Amino acid sequence: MTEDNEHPGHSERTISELLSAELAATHMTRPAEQITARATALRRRRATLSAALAVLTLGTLGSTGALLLSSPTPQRIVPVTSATAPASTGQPSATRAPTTAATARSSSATPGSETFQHGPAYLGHQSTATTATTASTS
Amino acid sequence: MNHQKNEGFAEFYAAARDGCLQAVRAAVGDPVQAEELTAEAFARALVHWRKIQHHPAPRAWVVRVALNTHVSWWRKRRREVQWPGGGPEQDRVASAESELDGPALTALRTLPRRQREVVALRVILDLDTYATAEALGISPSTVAVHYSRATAALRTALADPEERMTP
Repeated sequence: MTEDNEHPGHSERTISELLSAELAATHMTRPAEQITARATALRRRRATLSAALAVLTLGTLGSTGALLLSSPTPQRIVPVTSATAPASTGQPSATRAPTTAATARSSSATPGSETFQHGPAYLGHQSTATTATTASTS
Repeated sequence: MNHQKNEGFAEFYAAARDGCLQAVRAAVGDPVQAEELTAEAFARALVHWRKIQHHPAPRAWVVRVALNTHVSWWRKRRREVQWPGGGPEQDRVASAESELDGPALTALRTLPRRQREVVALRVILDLDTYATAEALGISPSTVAVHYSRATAALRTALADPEERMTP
């Protein structure tokens, strides 16, 4: 190496020799049988993991299929129509469009429902609105 | 069945185990952990022996697996709650053994991880720049840079104190 002139005592070759000398006493004490046993355990674990993964995959596919098959009438999405919307009597309409059947049902049956009560005209008219709702539903 | 699968592994293990352990020890520093890592890497080599026996540099493969395992163990341990005394008993024994290292290994331990790995593969396993680059998954020029910096740092660390004082 060209650096030999700079540090004649510690050239690259000397570093290598020093390291090799210091590591010469380092020996692997594990017998080959121990490595074989560990490899067998690793192989077994791999096999178990792949089997578990296969079961999980099949299970996921199976449950999805079962869910699709077991619901012949899936949840309907009911659009807001004139029949379901509150009458335009000067009262504020629902600000949020119902997205599911349950929401649609509640908003159509009770104009004074949660959605309605949060409207801007709610302040100061709570008692009358609630009374009117109760009357109309009953 | 297993005999056919493992054919040739015993010879490979007998011939390569000390060299691989020394390289891993040079890179990792801790002798106890180095042996654990090397044993684990050899076990994984046996699991994939059909492929590994045709590998161009099976020793480098073993050392690389050991070093990667070291990183993943370190990541795992980082998340664990540390013992109040500074670590389990094994750690203390290992560090005590490390303290018995000579000047070259002590100086090597002060280098960054990548530089130690490059020195381990180039010096201990006697791989060339390209084989080292392939084993570590980095470019040959990066290997050259790491190697150059590592040897310069080692030279400085191993130089006599008087020599170091002179500009």
